[in-house]
Amino acid sequence: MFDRRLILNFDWVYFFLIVILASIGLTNLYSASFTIESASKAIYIKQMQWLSLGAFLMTIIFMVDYRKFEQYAYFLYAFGILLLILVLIFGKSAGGSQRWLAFGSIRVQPSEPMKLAIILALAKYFHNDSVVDSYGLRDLIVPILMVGLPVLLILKEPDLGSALLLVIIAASIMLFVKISLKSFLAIVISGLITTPFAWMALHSYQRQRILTLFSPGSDPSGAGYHINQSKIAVGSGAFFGKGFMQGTQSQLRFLPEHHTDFIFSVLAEEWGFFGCFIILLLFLSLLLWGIKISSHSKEKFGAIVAVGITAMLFWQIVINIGMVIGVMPVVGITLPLFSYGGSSLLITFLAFGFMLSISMRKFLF
Amino acid sequence: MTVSNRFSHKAYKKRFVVFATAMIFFFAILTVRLWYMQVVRADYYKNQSENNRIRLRTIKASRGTIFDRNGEILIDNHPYFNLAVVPENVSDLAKLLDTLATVINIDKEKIMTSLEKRRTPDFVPHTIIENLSREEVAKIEAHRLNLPGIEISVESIRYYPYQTLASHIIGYLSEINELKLKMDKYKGYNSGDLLGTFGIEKTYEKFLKGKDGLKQVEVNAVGRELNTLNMKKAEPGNTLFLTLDAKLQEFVERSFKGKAGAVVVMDVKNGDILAQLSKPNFNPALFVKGISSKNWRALADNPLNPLQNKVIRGQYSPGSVFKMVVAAAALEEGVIAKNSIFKCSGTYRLGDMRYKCWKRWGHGKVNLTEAIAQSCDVYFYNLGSILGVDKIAEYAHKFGLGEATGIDLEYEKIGIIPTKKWKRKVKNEKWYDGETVSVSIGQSYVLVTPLQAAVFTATIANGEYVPVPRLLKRIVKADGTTVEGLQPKKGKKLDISKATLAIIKEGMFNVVNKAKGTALASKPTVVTAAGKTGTVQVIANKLRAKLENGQTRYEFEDHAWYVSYAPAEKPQIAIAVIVEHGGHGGSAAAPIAKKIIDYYFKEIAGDDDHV
Repeated sequence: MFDRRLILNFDWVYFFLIVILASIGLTNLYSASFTIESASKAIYIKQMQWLSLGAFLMTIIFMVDYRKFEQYAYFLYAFGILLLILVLIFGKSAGGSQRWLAFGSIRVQPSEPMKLAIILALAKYFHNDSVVDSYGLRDLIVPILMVGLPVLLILKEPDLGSALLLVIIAASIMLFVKISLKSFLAIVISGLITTPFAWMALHSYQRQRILTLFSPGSDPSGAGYHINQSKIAVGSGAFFGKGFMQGTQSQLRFLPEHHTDFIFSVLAEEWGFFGCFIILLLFLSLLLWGIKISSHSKEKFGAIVAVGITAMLFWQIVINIGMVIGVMPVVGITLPLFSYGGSSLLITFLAFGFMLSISMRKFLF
Repeated sequence: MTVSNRFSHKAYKKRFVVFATAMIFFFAILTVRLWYMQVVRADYYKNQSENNRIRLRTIKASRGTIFDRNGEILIDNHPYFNLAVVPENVSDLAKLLDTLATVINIDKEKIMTSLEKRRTPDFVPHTIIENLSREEVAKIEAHRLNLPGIEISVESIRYYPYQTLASHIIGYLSEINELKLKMDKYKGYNSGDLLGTFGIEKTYEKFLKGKDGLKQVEVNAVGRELNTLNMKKAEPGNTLFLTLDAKLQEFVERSFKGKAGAVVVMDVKNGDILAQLSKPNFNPALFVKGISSKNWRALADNPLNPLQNKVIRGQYSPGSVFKMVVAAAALEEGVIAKNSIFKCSGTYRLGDMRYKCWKRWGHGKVNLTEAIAQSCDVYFYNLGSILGVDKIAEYAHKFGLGEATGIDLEYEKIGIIPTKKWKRKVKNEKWYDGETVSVSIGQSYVLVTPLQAAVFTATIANGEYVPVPRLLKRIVKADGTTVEGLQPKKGKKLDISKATLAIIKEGMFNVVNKAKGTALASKPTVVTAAGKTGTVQVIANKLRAKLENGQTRYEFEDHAWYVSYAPAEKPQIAIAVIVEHGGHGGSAAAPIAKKIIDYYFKEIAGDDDHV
C-alpha cells in the first residue's frame, strides 16, 4: 500500500498553510475565550482536542487512496441523508432550530458531513457521466435532486446558512463541470421565481437578518446588534489592532457569538487591517493552491472533489468574513480553522485529508 | 481501478483560471471593505467602541443642611439603610433567608416573591428590606460571614430633629417629575432626584442641591462595572443659616397650642423672621420617602388646611388693626390734628344707614389716641368718610399693605386694598360710600396676610422704612466661606412724617398701658410694649344669630388679631398674631403676644446680637 512516491510527493505547501492557519486560529480563539471577568480555558482546550482528532483523521484520509471513496460515495451520501432525517426526529434544539444530534456528550451537526458527502456524490456522478461537452438541463435533473433533498431537510431544521452553502457548493461544481449557458440561465431564472416563495417559507428571524443587512442601524439592540457590534470591533481595530487579548469589544462581551460565527471580528479588532490582510493572503493561497491541486489531478473524480472542497472553503470564508464586516447577511456560517466547533473543524480536516490525498497521488497515473 | 474517463486538461484549463480569478476578485472586495472600515473609518469605529465600554455614573451630592440663627440644626441628613441581595452571589437562597431570619425579623415569603419577580440581571443588588434600624445593621454586620450575597446600601434622607417645628418654613422635598426634567431650569437633574417643592427647601433649592459627581466606569456588555477610569467628586450642597430662633419658635408653638391661625415674630429693623407659625401644621418627615396617599389625603382634606402656610397665604380682614392706616392718612392729609375730637354715641349714621361702634353705648367724646387705645369705631367712620376709600388705599400702600412683602418663600399672597377703580375692575360695580365706612375699620373688602400685618407693625415701629422680611441669614459653602450677594434688602422708605408716627405710636402705647386700653390685660412684665387689637366678624350678626340658633358654632366665631412691638421706646421686635375664630383680639390674641414678648426679652434678647 505504501508507495515511496507518496511521501516524496507529499504536498508540504498545502500542509504548512493548514498548520499556520490552524495555529493562528487557535491563538485567536485563546484570546476570544477570555473575558476580563472570567478566564475560561475550556473552549480552547476543547478546540485543541478537536484539532488533534482532526489531524489524526486527516492523516488516515490522505494515506488511503481517495478513489476508494468514490465507491462508497453514494453510500456516504445516503448515510448523510439518514443523519439529517434523524436530526429532525431526535435533534437537540438550540435557538429555535434543531441542528444537533447528541451521542452521549458529543454533539454532531449533520449538515456539516453532508457538505463533504454531496461533494463526493456529485463528483462520482459527473465522473461516471459520459457527457463530454456541456450539460444541458435534462442532464442536471439527477444532480439537482441529489442536492435538493438534503437542502430541503436542512431548511426544515431550519438552518438557512447551511442549506444555502450546500446549494452554492453544488452550483460551483456544476459550473466547473461545464453547464451550458442556457441551462445555467434557466436555473437562475427559476431560482428568481422561487425566491418570493422561499422568502415566505423563511422564519421571521431569518427575514429580519436579511433585512438588517440592508439597514443595520434600524434596530441596534435587536437584529442589528450583532452586525453593529461586529463592525465596531472590526473598525476600531484600525491598522495595527488593539493588540493580542486587548480587544475591548470581545473582552467586555459586547460581541455576541465571538468565539463561533463572529471569531473574525476578534482577530480584526486585535490585529487590525494588517492582521486581516495577512490572514486573507494565507486563505487565498490555500484556495489557489487547492485550484492547483485540482488542475494537476490526472483524473476527473479527484479534480471535481478538489474543486468542490475548495469551493466549500472559499464560500465559507467569503460569507463568514462578509457577514462580520457587514456585507453579507448573518446566516450562521463558520470560518474554517477559526470558529469554535467540533463538527465544522473535523469536516474541514477531512476535506484537507482529501486535498492532500489528491495532491500526492497526481503522479500515480 | 480503471480510469474510465481520462481527464482532458485542455477543456478545463480555462475554468481553473476563471475560478482562481473569481476567488481573487472576491478577496479583493473583502480587502477593500476592510481597508475602508479599519483605515478610512477607523476613528469613527474607535469612538463607537469607547462609547460602548465607558459609562458615566453619577455620584449623588449630599444636600445642604439647615440651621437656625444660633446654629441649632433644623434639617439634617440621616443615613437610610437598605438590605439587598445580589442574586449571583447566592448559591442557596432558602438557606440564606433562614440564616437571615435568625438575625433579624423578616418575611421570607414576601422576599422570595419579590426576588422571583425582579427583572434586573443577577449582579444587580435587589433591595429586600428598606429602612433598617442601626441595631439591625449592627446585627447583620456581625453575621456578615454567614450571609453571602447580602449587601447593605446607604442613602441619605432628610431628618427633622424638631419634628413638626416650623414645618411650613422647613418645607419638604419630592421626586422630580418628568415634566420638570425636560425643562432647562432643571438641567443637571436626573430621574429620581429629589427637589425642594415647599418652604425654604424650594426657595434655596439651587444652593442646597449641591453638584452631583461623575464616575467614568468601564462596563461590559451587560452593564457590570469593572473599573473606575475617572472620577469627579460630588460637591455637597451649601449650609443654610436661617433667621429663625429655634428656642423662640418652640415657645411660640407651645403658646399657640390647640389654636388655628398664625404668628409672626420679626426684627423691626432688618426684617429677620425670628419665629413664624402657621397652625395647624404637618410633619415634614411624612414626605421623606414619598408621602403615602393616605397621609396625603388626611392633610389635603383637613378643613383647617394644614398644608397652607397661613402666614403668607392666609388672607384675613385686618379689622381694627387697620385703624392706624386711617389715622395716618387723616393726620397727614390734615383732616384732623392730634387732639381733634369726635363724639361716639355708639352709632354712626350715613344717609339711611346706621353703623355701630363695638361699644353699644358709645365712647363719648374721644381724641385720636384715645380712639386708637379704646378702638372706637365711630371715630374712624368719621375719618374714613372724610378721606374716601382711595386716600385710605394710598396710605395703606405706604405701609406695604396690598403689596408683596418680598419674603423668601414662594407663593406669597398680597391681600386686597380696595379702591374705586379696583371695584369697577373686579366686581364691575360702583363704589358705595357705606363701604368706605366699613373699610375705615378694616372690614369690607380689605384683606391682609399675617405677614403683612407684622411688616406693617414693624414699619410703624422703626418709623423709617418698610422692612423686607427674610428667613435666610446666610449661606455657607462647604469650604466655610459665606456666599456673597445675599445681603438683606432695604425696604422702601416710609413716606409719613415723624409727628404723625409719634401720635399713632402714642395711641398704640395706650392700648397696652393706659386705662381703658383694649390690651391692658396683656401688658408685658419684662419690657414695655405697644399694640393694637382687632376683632373680625366672619359673618353678619343677624345671620349668625339665625344660623346658630342659640348654639355657638366655631366657624362663626370672630377672628382675633393682635399686632404689637416692643420695647415701646426703642422697638426691636414686631409681632402679629391671628387666632382663627378665637373671639376678641384683646382676650384671645393679645395674651399670646404678651407671653412671647416676655419670653423673648427674658430668655433670648441680650445673648444674641440681632438688634
